Amino acid sequence: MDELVVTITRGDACARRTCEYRLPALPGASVMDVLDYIYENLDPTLSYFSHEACRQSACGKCLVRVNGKVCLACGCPAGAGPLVLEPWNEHVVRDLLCE
Amino acid sequence: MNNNELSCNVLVVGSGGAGLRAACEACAQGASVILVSKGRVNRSGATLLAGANVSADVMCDGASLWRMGVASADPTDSPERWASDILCEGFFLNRTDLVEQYVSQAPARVEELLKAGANVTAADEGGRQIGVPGSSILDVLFRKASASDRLTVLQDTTLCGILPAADGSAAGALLLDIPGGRLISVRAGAVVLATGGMHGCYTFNSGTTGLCGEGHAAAMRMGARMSLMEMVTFCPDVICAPSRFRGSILPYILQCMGYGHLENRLGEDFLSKYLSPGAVELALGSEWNKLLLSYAMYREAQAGLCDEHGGVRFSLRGLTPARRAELEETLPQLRRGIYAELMALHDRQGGLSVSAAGHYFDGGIAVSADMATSVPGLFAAGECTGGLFGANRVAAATTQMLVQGAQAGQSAARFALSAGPRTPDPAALEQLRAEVLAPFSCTGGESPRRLRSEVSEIISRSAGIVRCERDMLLGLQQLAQTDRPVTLSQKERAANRGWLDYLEARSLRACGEAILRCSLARRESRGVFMRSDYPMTDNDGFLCETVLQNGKVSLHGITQPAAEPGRFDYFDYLERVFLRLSYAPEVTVQ
Repeated sequence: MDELVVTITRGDACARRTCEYRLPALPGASVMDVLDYIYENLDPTLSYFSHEACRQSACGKCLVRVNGKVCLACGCPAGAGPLVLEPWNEHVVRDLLCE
Repeated sequence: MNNNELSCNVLVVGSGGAGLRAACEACAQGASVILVSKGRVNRSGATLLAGANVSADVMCDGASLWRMGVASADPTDSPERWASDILCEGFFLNRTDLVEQYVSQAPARVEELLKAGANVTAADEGGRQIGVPGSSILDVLFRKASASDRLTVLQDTTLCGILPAADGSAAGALLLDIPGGRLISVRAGAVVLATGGMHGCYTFNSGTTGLCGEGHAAAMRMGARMSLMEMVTFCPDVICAPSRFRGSILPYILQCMGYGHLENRLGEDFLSKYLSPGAVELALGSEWNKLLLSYAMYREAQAGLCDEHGGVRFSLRGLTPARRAELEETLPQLRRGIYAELMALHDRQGGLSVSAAGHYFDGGIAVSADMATSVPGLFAAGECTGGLFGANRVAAATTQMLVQGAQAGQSAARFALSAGPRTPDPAALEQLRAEVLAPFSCTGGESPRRLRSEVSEIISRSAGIVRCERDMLLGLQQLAQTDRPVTLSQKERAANRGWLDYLEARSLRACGEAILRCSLARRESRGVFMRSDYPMTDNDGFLCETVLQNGKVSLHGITQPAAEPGRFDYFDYLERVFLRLSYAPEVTVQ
């Protein structure tokens, strides 16, 4: 089975670490869908913007750095990976959630 | 006082159109206002996605719109004629005092939106409406609200519950700052709920992720009267797959403009299997398309003729190149960003998988024409209220939020400024805090995410497009069983998604129970409400408002001379009522 490998920079602004997740390929998924999959199935401690997300590239709140480039998690296709996900700015609340 | 304890004259919960408009008005009345937004203040709630953020209908009677210089408006229209149409559209369950307030205030609200420079994308949409993107409405309102130095905004903050004073009136609220994990108690002279819909009740819905009925649930815990909670509008033509575009109503907007057609997985037209020729015309040529197409899609799914995503195909393939060019000319948004990608996907696949999604909640917190709820000091506005549109909303949620928001802001400010500061009951505050914090001290409980999913799966199964007693009784029983302890994997309060899932599951469960209890009491089919076990529209037995209060449902008869006595076949009656609309001749009904 195809596998999607996702590396996420976690922790707060003072203590960062990276975690790797392996999940089944998700055809047609966005980076937001990948994060939801990890939160729901692999790691319920993951933080990212999801509490009031439009999921249609309209609210602009789900910014994340995907393979070095800042984009909206909901509007960015996950593709076949691998994905390296980092906070989009330095004001990290936790994991991928920034101020 | 520290920043976990705040006070104001008016607390407004929700920052979509209704909340922002309420905040503007309360500030203008001289009140100090705290405005709470679950997400980003000017980019949250259903307002943002109204009309797929391309073109949301903003309405008032044609004569008023014509006076504002909208050339396509119908100068022979009147507020009275519009009100009579709204009653027919709502199958006569509307609260007439709310309808009167709505049609009389709508012109002023629409005019101020135009004067403030809202971006009108379509001015030729028929006699009573203009089109404005949801984001433009939010921008205009937020600009106005931020101009007041009496306004404090709390973003990324959710409502945990309303705080009662010792006499049971509303005296503030307990809030959660989601990123910071802080509980904030607010003392307020009055509270306005503008929390929008209960979209999270349905696993497939067209709302933002945060719309979880917190306002409804909080009002119910205060013992507020709820009205017509069984009335839920589903939107057909909502994208099912791929997951990246799931929940987008763009195909519905295109279909309303006359573009595109639907077919099942065998490539067949299916509407005529379930709808009479007259109803098919209404489904394809009128704004009554939501309930008719949703019903046909439900039946097609039951017949096993949907695709692997549970959808039917929406396709623009039949358009001539000239029509397609005309469409892209009319909606230039289709040529850029997410919609350009969506159109490219459509062209590659020859269509999009669409189905009916939980979309708009016609029922909600009962209010009088001044937007007061049955709880002193508690007001509500916009989609979280019930009664204005009866059993079927056509015209229009964006205008509802502006009209009711302004009224609620004014009423709440007057109440707060005359009643003076209020003190929440300390015991009630402690009890609510304990309930909210319970999962942190619980071991051996379940995953809050799993429980939240279970709650929406149960509601989706038992309170869907077509309901029956057996499913609903089972649904109620299953919902009660979801009230189980949860344990959090993340122990820190800050940015704790699991904690939020617990709080949302708690609200969604209360909303689902309310929808089911009211649905069980209405033993008929009417407007957006359909039952397989009671398929007739029954004006003799159920021309009534379902009222839910403290967990008990009662039926209150409505005196409405326009509704003829008798029991009618649902579809025959729908076609008959349609013919009474002032705009009916525009659609040829056979």
